[in-house]
Amino acid sequence: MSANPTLVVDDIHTYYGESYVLQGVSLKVEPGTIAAVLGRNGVGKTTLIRSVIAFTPPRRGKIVFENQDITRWTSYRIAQAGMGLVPQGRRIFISLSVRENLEIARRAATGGNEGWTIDSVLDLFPRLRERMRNSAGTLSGGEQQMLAVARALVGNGRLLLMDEPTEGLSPHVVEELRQLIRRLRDGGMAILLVEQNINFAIESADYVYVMDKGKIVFDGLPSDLAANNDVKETYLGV
Amino acid sequence: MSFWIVNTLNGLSLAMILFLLAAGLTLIFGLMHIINMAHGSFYLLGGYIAITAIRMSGNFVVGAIIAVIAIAILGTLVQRLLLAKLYKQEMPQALLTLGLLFIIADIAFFTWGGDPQLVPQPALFQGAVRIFGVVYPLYRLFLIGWGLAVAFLLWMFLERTKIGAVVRAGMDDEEMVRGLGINMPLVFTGIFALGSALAGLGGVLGGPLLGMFPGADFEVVLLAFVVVTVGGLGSIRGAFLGSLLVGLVDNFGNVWFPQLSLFTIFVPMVVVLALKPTGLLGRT
Repeated sequence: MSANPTLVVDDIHTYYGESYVLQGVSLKVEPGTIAAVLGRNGVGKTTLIRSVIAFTPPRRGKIVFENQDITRWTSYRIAQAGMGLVPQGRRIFISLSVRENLEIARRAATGGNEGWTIDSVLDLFPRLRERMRNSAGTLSGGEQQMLAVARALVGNGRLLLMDEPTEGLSPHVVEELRQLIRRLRDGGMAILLVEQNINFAIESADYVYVMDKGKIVFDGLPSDLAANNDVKETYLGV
Repeated sequence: MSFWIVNTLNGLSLAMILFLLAAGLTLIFGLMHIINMAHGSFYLLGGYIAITAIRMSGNFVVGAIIAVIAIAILGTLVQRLLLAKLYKQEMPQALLTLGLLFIIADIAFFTWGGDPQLVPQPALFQGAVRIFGVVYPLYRLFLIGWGLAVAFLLWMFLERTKIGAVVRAGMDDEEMVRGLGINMPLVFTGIFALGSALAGLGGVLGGPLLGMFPGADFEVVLLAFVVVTVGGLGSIRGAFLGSLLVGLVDNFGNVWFPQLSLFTIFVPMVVVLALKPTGLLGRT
Protein backbone atom coordinates (compact mmCIF):
# COMPACT_ATOMS: atom_id res chain seq x y z
CA MET A 1 0.00 0.00 0.00
CA SER A 2 1.26 3.43 -0.85
CA ALA A 3 1.46 6.20 1.68
CA ASN A 4 -1.51 7.91 0.04
CA PRO A 5 -4.66 8.40 2.10
CA THR A 6 -7.33 5.70 1.81
CA LEU A 7 -10.03 8.32 1.39
CA VAL A 8 -9.81 11.93 0.28
CA VAL A 9 -12.92 14.08 0.34
CA ASP A 10 -12.11 17.26 -1.52
CA ASP A 11 -14.41 20.26 -1.20
CA ILE A 12 -17.72 18.47 -1.72
CA HIS A 13 -21.06 20.26 -1.93
CA THR A 14 -24.16 18.13 -1.40
CA TYR A 15 -27.84 19.04 -1.66
CA TYR A 16 -31.13 17.40 -0.73
CA GLY A 17 -33.28 18.87 -3.43
CA GLU A 18 -32.95 22.60 -2.87
CA SER A 19 -31.51 22.24 0.61
CA TYR A 20 -27.77 23.01 0.59
CA VAL A 21 -26.35 20.66 3.21
CA LEU A 22 -22.61 20.13 2.70
CA GLN A 23 -21.03 23.45 1.82
CA GLY A 24 -17.50 22.51 0.89
CA VAL A 25 -16.29 19.65 3.10
CA SER A 26 -12.75 18.30 2.85
CA LEU A 27 -11.15 15.56 4.92
CA LYS A 28 -8.81 12.60 4.73
CA VAL A 29 -8.64 9.12 6.20
CA GLU A 30 -5.17 7.56 6.27
CA PRO A 31 -4.71 3.78 6.03
CA GLY A 32 -4.91 2.04 9.38
CA THR A 33 -6.32 5.06 11.19
CA ILE A 34 -9.64 6.18 12.60
CA ALA A 35 -10.88 9.62 11.60
CA ALA A 36 -13.87 10.88 13.56
CA VAL A 37 -16.31 13.58 12.51
CA LEU A 38 -18.11 15.25 15.38
CA GLY A 39 -20.94 17.71 15.42
CA ARG A 40 -24.42 18.40 16.64
CA ASN A 41 -27.54 16.89 15.15
CA GLY A 42 -28.33 18.15 11.69
CA VAL A 43 -24.96 19.68 10.77
CA GLY A 44 -24.51 17.26 7.86
CA LYS A 45 -22.61 14.31 9.33
CA THR A 46 -24.92 11.66 7.92
CA THR A 47 -25.01 13.53 4.61
CA LEU A 48 -21.22 13.27 4.53
CA ILE A 49 -21.43 9.46 4.82
CA ARG A 50 -24.24 9.37 2.25
CA SER A 51 -22.11 11.43 -0.12
CA VAL A 52 -19.10 9.14 0.18
CA ILE A 53 -21.16 5.98 -0.58
CA ALA A 54 -23.08 7.91 -3.30
CA PHE A 55 -26.53 7.48 -1.74
CA THR A 56 -26.69 11.24 -2.13
CA PRO A 57 -23.87 12.10 -4.53
CA PRO A 58 -22.26 15.52 -4.18
CA ARG A 59 -23.04 18.07 -6.90
CA ARG A 60 -19.54 19.50 -6.78
CA GLY A 61 -16.18 18.41 -5.44
CA LYS A 62 -14.23 15.19 -5.62
CA ILE A 63 -14.00 11.93 -3.69
CA VAL A 64 -10.93 9.75 -4.11
CA PHE A 65 -10.74 6.23 -2.73
CA GLU A 66 -7.35 4.48 -2.85
CA ASN A 67 -6.19 6.80 -5.65
CA GLN A 68 -9.31 6.26 -7.77
CA ASP A 69 -11.71 9.10 -8.40
CA ILE A 70 -15.06 7.60 -7.36
CA THR A 71 -17.08 10.82 -7.44
CA ARG A 72 -19.39 9.69 -10.26
CA TRP A 73 -19.53 6.00 -9.33
CA THR A 74 -22.75 4.29 -8.25
CA SER A 75 -23.12 3.03 -4.69
CA TYR A 76 -22.73 -0.65 -5.43
CA ARG A 77 -19.52 -0.12 -7.39
CA ILE A 78 -18.06 1.96 -4.58
CA ALA A 79 -18.94 -0.73 -2.05
CA GLN A 80 -17.45 -3.40 -4.31
CA ALA A 81 -14.26 -1.38 -4.57
CA GLY A 82 -13.74 -1.96 -0.84
CA MET A 83 -15.96 0.22 1.32
CA GLY A 84 -18.07 -1.12 4.16
CA LEU A 85 -21.00 0.76 5.69
CA VAL A 86 -22.52 0.69 9.16
CA PRO A 87 -25.36 3.12 8.55
CA GLN A 88 -27.23 5.30 10.95
CA GLY A 89 -30.19 3.41 12.37
CA ARG A 90 -28.51 0.05 11.55
CA ARG A 91 -30.77 -0.68 8.57
CA ILE A 92 -30.52 -4.43 8.88
CA PHE A 93 -32.90 -6.43 6.70
CA ILE A 94 -35.77 -7.46 8.95
CA SER A 95 -37.33 -9.89 6.47
CA LEU A 96 -34.14 -11.93 6.40
CA SER A 97 -32.68 -14.26 8.95
CA VAL A 98 -29.48 -13.20 10.68
CA ARG A 99 -27.59 -15.68 8.52
CA GLU A 100 -29.09 -14.30 5.30
CA ASN A 101 -28.16 -10.76 6.34
CA LEU A 102 -24.55 -11.90 6.50
CA GLU A 103 -24.65 -14.15 3.42
CA ILE A 104 -25.82 -11.48 1.01
CA ALA A 105 -23.18 -9.06 2.33
CA ARG A 106 -20.28 -11.50 2.18
CA ARG A 107 -17.58 -10.71 -0.31
CA ALA A 108 -14.15 -12.32 -0.48
CA ALA A 109 -11.18 -10.24 0.60
CA THR A 110 -8.76 -9.03 -2.03
CA GLY A 111 -5.08 -9.89 -2.09
CA GLY A 112 -5.27 -13.58 -1.29
CA ASN A 113 -5.94 -13.45 2.45
CA GLU A 114 -9.16 -14.95 3.65
CA GLY A 115 -10.45 -11.87 5.44
CA TRP A 116 -13.62 -11.98 7.50
CA THR A 117 -15.84 -15.00 7.03
CA ILE A 118 -19.27 -15.53 8.50
CA ASP A 119 -17.68 -17.89 10.97
CA SER A 120 -14.98 -15.48 12.08
CA VAL A 121 -17.40 -12.58 12.65
CA LEU A 122 -19.54 -14.93 14.72
CA ASP A 123 -16.53 -15.55 16.94
CA LEU A 124 -16.49 -11.80 17.43
CA PHE A 125 -20.21 -11.65 18.22
CA PRO A 126 -21.12 -14.97 19.87
CA ARG A 127 -24.59 -13.66 20.63
CA LEU A 128 -25.37 -13.60 16.91
CA ARG A 129 -24.36 -17.23 16.53
CA GLU A 130 -27.22 -18.27 18.77
CA ARG A 131 -29.61 -16.20 16.65
CA MET A 132 -28.50 -17.22 13.18
CA ARG A 133 -31.83 -18.73 12.16
CA ASN A 134 -33.95 -16.03 13.76
CA SER A 135 -35.48 -13.24 11.76
CA ALA A 136 -33.24 -10.19 12.11
CA GLY A 137 -36.30 -8.15 13.03
CA THR A 138 -36.53 -10.01 16.34
CA LEU A 139 -33.06 -8.92 17.54
CA SER A 140 -32.61 -6.42 20.35
CA GLY A 141 -31.16 -3.00 19.54
CA GLY A 142 -27.67 -4.00 20.68
CA GLU A 143 -27.81 -7.23 18.69
CA GLN A 144 -28.97 -5.33 15.61
CA GLN A 145 -25.95 -3.05 15.94
CA MET A 146 -23.68 -6.08 16.19
CA LEU A 147 -25.30 -7.47 13.07
CA ALA A 148 -24.84 -4.16 11.25
CA VAL A 149 -21.13 -4.19 12.13
CA ALA A 150 -20.78 -7.89 11.29
CA ARG A 151 -22.52 -7.32 7.95
CA ALA A 152 -20.06 -4.56 7.09
CA LEU A 153 -17.08 -6.70 8.12
CA VAL A 154 -17.94 -9.75 5.97
CA GLY A 155 -17.85 -7.44 2.95
CA ASN A 156 -14.10 -7.21 3.59
CA GLY A 157 -13.66 -3.60 2.66
CA ARG A 158 -10.53 -1.65 3.51
CA LEU A 159 -12.46 1.43 4.59
CA LEU A 160 -15.31 1.27 7.06
CA LEU A 161 -17.89 4.06 7.21
CA MET A 162 -19.62 4.12 10.60
CA ASP A 163 -22.52 6.46 11.22
CA GLU A 164 -23.29 6.85 14.92
CA PRO A 165 -22.59 3.24 15.84
CA THR A 166 -22.97 3.95 19.58
CA GLU A 167 -26.53 5.26 19.24
CA GLY A 168 -28.80 3.53 21.73
CA LEU A 169 -26.14 1.16 23.07
CA SER A 170 -25.45 0.49 26.73
CA PRO A 171 -22.12 1.80 28.11
CA HIS A 172 -20.84 -1.75 28.32
CA VAL A 173 -21.56 -2.45 24.64
CA VAL A 174 -20.10 0.95 23.67
CA GLU A 175 -16.84 -0.03 25.37
CA GLU A 176 -16.79 -3.37 23.50
CA LEU A 177 -17.36 -1.51 20.27
CA ARG A 178 -14.50 0.88 21.04
CA GLN A 179 -12.13 -2.01 21.60
CA LEU A 180 -13.34 -3.67 18.43
CA ILE A 181 -12.76 -0.69 16.17
CA ARG A 182 -9.31 -0.13 17.68
CA ARG A 183 -8.55 -3.75 16.86
CA LEU A 184 -9.82 -3.35 13.31
CA ARG A 185 -7.64 -0.28 12.92
CA ASP A 186 -4.62 -2.14 14.25
CA GLY A 187 -5.37 -4.78 11.63
CA GLY A 188 -4.91 -2.11 8.95
CA MET A 189 -8.50 -0.99 8.37
CA ALA A 190 -9.21 2.69 7.76
CA ILE A 191 -12.34 3.94 9.53
CA LEU A 192 -14.41 7.07 9.02
CA LEU A 193 -16.49 7.45 12.16
CA VAL A 194 -19.33 9.92 12.48
CA GLU A 195 -20.41 10.50 16.07
CA GLN A 196 -22.32 12.68 18.49
CA ASN A 197 -20.74 10.85 21.39
CA ILE A 198 -17.68 13.07 21.95
CA ASN A 199 -15.94 10.90 24.49
CA PHE A 200 -16.28 7.84 22.32
CA ALA A 201 -14.77 9.68 19.35
CA ILE A 202 -11.93 11.25 21.34
CA GLU A 203 -11.04 7.94 22.93
CA SER A 204 -11.13 5.93 19.70
CA ALA A 205 -9.98 8.23 16.94
CA ASP A 206 -6.53 9.12 15.67
CA TYR A 207 -7.73 12.35 14.14
CA VAL A 208 -10.90 14.37 14.64
CA TYR A 209 -12.93 16.83 12.60
CA VAL A 210 -15.71 19.02 13.94
CA MET A 211 -18.56 19.98 11.63
CA ASP A 212 -21.03 22.81 11.86
CA LYS A 213 -23.65 23.91 9.32
CA GLY A 214 -22.19 21.82 6.53
CA LYS A 215 -18.57 22.90 7.00
CA ILE A 216 -15.53 21.59 8.83
CA VAL A 217 -14.80 24.11 11.57
CA PHE A 218 -12.00 22.31 13.42
CA ASP A 219 -9.57 19.52 12.76
CA GLY A 220 -6.75 18.14 14.85
CA LEU A 221 -5.60 15.43 17.17
CA PRO A 222 -8.11 14.14 19.73
CA SER A 223 -5.94 15.65 22.47
CA ASP A 224 -6.14 19.07 20.77
CA LEU A 225 -9.92 18.88 20.75
CA ALA A 226 -10.03 17.65 24.34
CA ALA A 227 -8.02 20.71 25.37
CA ASN A 228 -9.96 23.19 23.24
CA ASN A 229 -12.90 24.29 25.36
CA ASP A 230 -13.85 27.01 22.87
CA VAL A 231 -14.56 24.56 20.07
CA LYS A 232 -16.26 22.12 22.40
CA GLU A 233 -18.55 24.77 23.81
CA THR A 234 -19.37 26.52 20.54
CA TYR A 235 -19.88 23.52 18.28
CA LEU A 236 -20.49 20.50 20.49
CA GLY A 237 -22.38 22.04 23.37
CA VAL A 238 -20.22 20.81 26.23
CA MET B 1 -72.24 -32.00 -4.57
CA SER B 2 -70.95 -32.08 -8.13
CA PHE B 3 -71.92 -28.38 -8.40
CA TRP B 4 -69.47 -27.57 -5.60
CA ILE B 5 -66.68 -29.74 -6.98
CA VAL B 6 -66.93 -28.40 -10.52
CA ASN B 7 -67.14 -24.77 -9.46
CA THR B 8 -64.36 -25.09 -6.91
CA LEU B 9 -62.11 -26.59 -9.58
CA ASN B 10 -63.16 -23.86 -12.01
CA GLY B 11 -62.34 -21.24 -9.39
CA LEU B 12 -58.98 -22.86 -8.71
CA SER B 13 -58.01 -22.95 -12.37
CA LEU B 14 -58.88 -19.27 -12.70
CA ALA B 15 -56.94 -18.63 -9.50
CA MET B 16 -53.81 -20.19 -11.03
CA ILE B 17 -53.99 -17.91 -14.07
CA LEU B 18 -54.39 -14.97 -11.72
CA PHE B 19 -51.48 -16.14 -9.63
CA LEU B 20 -49.16 -16.20 -12.65
CA LEU B 21 -50.01 -12.54 -13.18
CA ALA B 22 -50.12 -11.45 -9.57
CA ALA B 23 -46.78 -13.05 -8.65
CA GLY B 24 -44.87 -10.85 -11.07
CA LEU B 25 -46.93 -7.80 -10.26
CA THR B 26 -46.32 -8.10 -6.54
CA LEU B 27 -42.58 -8.80 -6.94
CA ILE B 28 -42.15 -5.81 -9.23
CA PHE B 29 -44.12 -3.55 -6.95
CA GLY B 30 -42.49 -4.83 -3.79
CA LEU B 31 -38.99 -4.30 -5.10
CA MET B 32 -39.26 -1.35 -7.49
CA HIS B 33 -42.53 0.32 -6.40
CA ILE B 34 -43.75 0.27 -9.98
CA ILE B 35 -47.50 0.02 -10.56
CA ASN B 36 -47.08 -1.89 -13.79
CA MET B 37 -50.22 -1.49 -15.90
CA ALA B 38 -48.36 -3.00 -18.87
CA HIS B 39 -48.43 -6.31 -17.00
CA GLY B 40 -51.77 -6.94 -18.70
CA SER B 41 -50.15 -6.25 -22.07
CA PHE B 42 -47.53 -8.90 -21.39
CA TYR B 43 -50.34 -11.36 -20.67
CA LEU B 44 -52.15 -10.42 -23.89
CA LEU B 45 -49.04 -10.52 -26.06
CA GLY B 46 -48.00 -13.82 -24.48
CA GLY B 47 -51.32 -15.32 -25.53
CA TYR B 48 -51.29 -13.84 -29.03
CA ILE B 49 -47.68 -14.78 -29.73
CA ALA B 50 -48.44 -18.30 -28.51
CA ILE B 51 -51.42 -18.52 -30.91
CA THR B 52 -49.22 -17.56 -33.85
CA ALA B 53 -46.23 -19.62 -32.78
CA ILE B 54 -48.33 -22.75 -32.11
CA ARG B 55 -50.02 -22.36 -35.48
CA MET B 56 -46.66 -22.09 -37.23
CA SER B 57 -44.83 -24.79 -35.31
CA GLY B 58 -47.79 -27.08 -34.80
CA ASN B 59 -46.57 -27.74 -31.26
CA PHE B 60 -47.96 -26.27 -28.05
CA VAL B 61 -44.75 -26.56 -26.03
CA VAL B 62 -42.62 -24.93 -28.73
CA GLY B 63 -45.14 -22.11 -29.11
CA ALA B 64 -45.36 -21.61 -25.36
CA ILE B 65 -41.58 -21.40 -24.97
CA ILE B 66 -41.29 -18.91 -27.85
CA ALA B 67 -44.03 -16.74 -26.34
CA VAL B 68 -42.56 -16.75 -22.85
CA ILE B 69 -39.05 -15.96 -24.08
CA ALA B 70 -40.37 -13.17 -26.31
CA ILE B 71 -42.19 -11.59 -23.36
CA ALA B 72 -39.13 -11.92 -21.12
CA ILE B 73 -37.09 -10.06 -23.73
CA LEU B 74 -39.79 -7.42 -24.12
CA GLY B 75 -39.92 -6.96 -20.34
CA THR B 76 -36.15 -6.59 -20.20
CA LEU B 77 -36.24 -3.90 -22.89
CA VAL B 78 -39.10 -2.02 -21.23
CA GLN B 79 -37.29 -2.01 -17.90
CA ARG B 80 -33.82 -1.19 -19.23
CA LEU B 81 -34.70 1.38 -21.86
CA LEU B 82 -37.67 3.08 -20.21
CA LEU B 83 -38.36 2.39 -16.54
CA ALA B 84 -34.74 2.40 -15.33
CA LYS B 85 -34.48 5.99 -16.58
CA LEU B 86 -37.26 6.95 -14.16
CA TYR B 87 -35.71 5.32 -11.10
CA LYS B 88 -37.71 6.13 -7.94
CA GLN B 89 -40.15 8.37 -9.83
CA GLU B 90 -43.25 6.39 -9.08
CA MET B 91 -45.92 8.48 -10.78
CA PRO B 92 -44.08 8.89 -14.10
CA GLN B 93 -43.37 5.15 -14.07
CA ALA B 94 -47.03 4.28 -13.54
CA LEU B 95 -48.08 6.67 -16.32
CA LEU B 96 -45.45 5.24 -18.63
CA THR B 97 -46.77 1.70 -18.13
CA LEU B 98 -50.33 2.93 -18.67
CA GLY B 99 -49.20 4.46 -21.96
CA LEU B 100 -47.55 1.17 -22.91
CA LEU B 101 -50.82 -0.64 -22.17
CA PHE B 102 -52.63 1.52 -24.74
CA ILE B 103 -49.86 1.35 -27.35
CA ILE B 104 -49.50 -2.42 -27.10
CA ALA B 105 -53.29 -2.83 -27.19
CA ASP B 106 -53.37 -0.96 -30.52
CA ILE B 107 -50.45 -2.92 -31.93
CA ALA B 108 -52.12 -6.18 -30.89
CA PHE B 109 -55.43 -5.11 -32.44
CA PHE B 110 -53.66 -4.16 -35.65
CA THR B 111 -51.74 -7.46 -35.74
CA TRP B 112 -54.26 -10.03 -34.50
CA GLY B 113 -57.56 -8.31 -35.19
CA GLY B 114 -60.60 -7.78 -33.02
CA ASP B 115 -62.13 -11.27 -32.89
CA PRO B 116 -61.56 -13.32 -29.76
CA GLN B 117 -59.10 -16.14 -30.34
CA LEU B 118 -58.34 -19.15 -28.20
CA VAL B 119 -54.83 -20.45 -27.68
CA PRO B 120 -54.99 -24.06 -28.98
CA GLN B 121 -54.99 -26.58 -26.16
CA PRO B 122 -52.03 -28.95 -25.97
CA ALA B 123 -53.06 -32.26 -27.53
CA LEU B 124 -51.90 -34.18 -24.49
CA PHE B 125 -54.41 -32.46 -22.20
CA GLN B 126 -57.49 -32.47 -24.39
CA GLY B 127 -60.54 -34.29 -23.20
CA ALA B 128 -61.88 -34.93 -19.74
CA VAL B 129 -61.30 -37.24 -16.81
CA ARG B 130 -63.38 -38.48 -13.90
CA ILE B 131 -62.35 -36.87 -10.64
CA PHE B 132 -64.22 -36.78 -7.30
CA GLY B 133 -67.18 -38.31 -9.11
CA VAL B 134 -67.46 -35.64 -11.80
CA VAL B 135 -66.26 -35.53 -15.38
CA TYR B 136 -63.84 -32.60 -15.60
CA PRO B 137 -61.68 -31.09 -18.37
CA LEU B 138 -58.15 -32.41 -18.16
CA TYR B 139 -56.65 -29.09 -19.27
CA ARG B 140 -58.04 -27.24 -16.26
CA LEU B 141 -56.52 -29.83 -13.94
CA PHE B 142 -53.21 -29.42 -15.73
CA LEU B 143 -53.49 -25.68 -15.21
CA ILE B 144 -54.04 -26.11 -11.47
CA GLY B 145 -51.01 -28.40 -11.29
CA TRP B 146 -48.85 -25.90 -13.18
CA GLY B 147 -49.94 -23.03 -10.99
CA LEU B 148 -49.05 -24.97 -7.86
CA ALA B 149 -45.68 -25.95 -9.33
CA VAL B 150 -44.85 -22.36 -10.29
CA ALA B 151 -45.90 -21.13 -6.85
CA PHE B 152 -43.65 -23.71 -5.20
CA LEU B 153 -40.67 -22.88 -7.43
CA LEU B 154 -41.09 -19.16 -6.84
CA TRP B 155 -41.29 -19.71 -3.11
CA MET B 156 -38.12 -21.82 -3.21
CA PHE B 157 -36.36 -19.16 -5.25
CA LEU B 158 -37.28 -16.36 -2.88
CA GLU B 159 -36.81 -18.17 0.42
CA ARG B 160 -33.99 -20.59 -0.32
CA THR B 161 -31.57 -18.90 -2.71
CA LYS B 162 -29.13 -16.07 -2.23
CA ILE B 163 -30.67 -14.03 -5.03
CA GLY B 164 -34.05 -14.54 -3.39
CA ALA B 165 -32.62 -13.17 -0.15
CA VAL B 166 -31.26 -10.18 -2.07
CA VAL B 167 -34.73 -9.55 -3.51
CA ARG B 168 -36.34 -9.72 -0.07
CA ALA B 169 -33.64 -7.45 1.35
CA GLY B 170 -34.31 -5.05 -1.52
CA MET B 171 -37.97 -4.92 -0.51
CA ASP B 172 -36.84 -3.97 3.02
CA ASP B 173 -34.26 -1.35 2.10
CA GLU B 174 -33.09 -1.19 -1.48
CA GLU B 175 -30.56 1.59 -0.96
CA MET B 176 -28.81 -0.36 1.78
CA VAL B 177 -28.51 -3.39 -0.50
CA ARG B 178 -26.66 -1.18 -2.99
CA GLY B 179 -24.46 -0.07 -0.13
CA LEU B 180 -23.38 -3.69 0.33
CA GLY B 181 -21.99 -3.79 -3.19
CA ILE B 182 -24.86 -5.66 -4.83
CA ASN B 183 -25.70 -4.72 -8.40
CA MET B 184 -29.32 -3.75 -7.82
CA PRO B 185 -29.93 -2.35 -11.31
CA LEU B 186 -29.22 -5.84 -12.62
CA VAL B 187 -31.49 -7.43 -9.99
CA PHE B 188 -34.24 -4.98 -10.99
CA THR B 189 -33.96 -5.99 -14.64
CA GLY B 190 -33.92 -9.68 -13.76
CA ILE B 191 -36.99 -9.48 -11.55
CA PHE B 192 -38.85 -7.37 -14.08
CA ALA B 193 -38.03 -9.89 -16.81
CA LEU B 194 -39.11 -12.77 -14.56
CA GLY B 195 -42.39 -11.04 -13.70
CA SER B 196 -43.05 -10.27 -17.37
CA ALA B 197 -42.31 -13.86 -18.38
CA LEU B 198 -44.78 -15.11 -15.76
CA ALA B 199 -47.44 -12.76 -17.13
CA GLY B 200 -46.68 -14.05 -20.62
CA LEU B 201 -46.99 -17.61 -19.31
CA GLY B 202 -50.31 -16.60 -17.79
CA GLY B 203 -51.47 -15.56 -21.26
CA VAL B 204 -50.23 -18.80 -22.82
CA LEU B 205 -51.81 -21.10 -20.24
CA GLY B 206 -54.92 -19.00 -19.63
CA GLY B 207 -55.45 -18.49 -23.36
CA PRO B 208 -57.18 -21.83 -24.03
CA LEU B 209 -59.79 -20.97 -21.36
CA LEU B 210 -60.21 -17.21 -21.43
CA GLY B 211 -59.15 -16.42 -24.97
CA MET B 212 -57.36 -13.33 -26.23
CA PHE B 213 -59.33 -10.31 -27.37
CA PRO B 214 -59.02 -6.51 -27.28
CA GLY B 215 -59.53 -5.47 -23.67
CA ALA B 216 -58.40 -8.77 -22.14
CA ASP B 217 -55.20 -7.00 -21.07
CA PHE B 218 -57.06 -4.47 -18.94
CA GLU B 219 -59.50 -7.05 -17.61
CA VAL B 220 -56.81 -9.35 -16.22
CA VAL B 221 -54.56 -6.62 -14.90
CA LEU B 222 -57.50 -5.24 -12.96
CA LEU B 223 -58.18 -8.65 -11.41
CA ALA B 224 -54.46 -9.12 -10.74
CA PHE B 225 -54.32 -5.79 -8.93
CA VAL B 226 -57.29 -6.87 -6.82
CA VAL B 227 -55.38 -10.07 -6.02
CA VAL B 228 -52.18 -8.31 -4.90
CA THR B 229 -54.12 -5.69 -2.98
CA VAL B 230 -56.09 -8.34 -1.10
CA GLY B 231 -53.03 -10.55 -0.58
CA GLY B 232 -50.68 -7.72 0.37
CA LEU B 233 -48.27 -5.95 -1.98
CA GLY B 234 -44.80 -7.45 -2.08
CA SER B 235 -45.74 -10.86 -0.75
CA ILE B 236 -45.69 -14.02 -2.89
CA ARG B 237 -47.66 -15.96 -0.31
CA GLY B 238 -50.12 -13.07 -0.26
CA ALA B 239 -50.40 -13.23 -4.04
CA PHE B 240 -51.13 -16.95 -3.80
CA LEU B 241 -53.75 -16.55 -1.09
CA GLY B 242 -55.28 -13.56 -2.88
CA SER B 243 -55.45 -15.53 -6.14
CA LEU B 244 -57.32 -18.37 -4.46
CA LEU B 245 -59.78 -15.95 -2.86
CA VAL B 246 -60.40 -13.86 -5.96
CA GLY B 247 -60.53 -16.92 -8.25
CA LEU B 248 -63.10 -18.67 -6.11
CA VAL B 249 -65.13 -15.56 -5.30
CA ASP B 250 -65.20 -14.54 -8.95
CA ASN B 251 -66.26 -17.96 -10.09
CA PHE B 252 -69.02 -18.49 -7.52
CA GLY B 253 -70.07 -14.86 -7.89
CA ASN B 254 -70.51 -15.37 -11.62
CA VAL B 255 -72.55 -18.50 -11.01
CA TRP B 256 -74.86 -17.03 -8.38
CA PHE B 257 -75.03 -13.35 -9.28
CA PRO B 258 -73.91 -13.16 -12.91
CA GLN B 259 -75.14 -9.59 -13.28
CA LEU B 260 -72.99 -8.43 -10.32
CA SER B 261 -69.63 -9.81 -11.39
CA LEU B 262 -67.50 -6.74 -10.57
CA PHE B 263 -69.41 -6.15 -7.37
CA THR B 264 -68.63 -9.62 -6.02
CA ILE B 265 -64.92 -9.03 -6.62
CA PHE B 266 -64.58 -5.54 -5.26
CA VAL B 267 -66.72 -5.90 -2.15
CA PRO B 268 -64.42 -8.55 -0.63
CA MET B 269 -61.46 -6.33 -1.53
CA VAL B 270 -62.95 -3.35 0.24
CA VAL B 271 -63.75 -5.49 3.28
CA VAL B 272 -60.19 -6.85 3.45
CA LEU B 273 -58.69 -3.38 3.09
CA ALA B 274 -61.00 -1.92 5.71
CA LEU B 275 -59.97 -4.61 8.19
CA LYS B 276 -56.32 -4.85 7.18
CA PRO B 277 -55.04 -1.96 5.05
CA THR B 278 -51.80 -3.76 4.14
CA GLY B 279 -53.69 -6.75 2.71
CA LEU B 280 -53.86 -10.22 4.23
CA LEU B 281 -50.13 -10.95 4.24
CA GLY B 282 -48.77 -7.54 3.35
CA ARG B 283 -45.42 -6.14 4.37
CA THR B 284 -45.79 -3.34 6.85
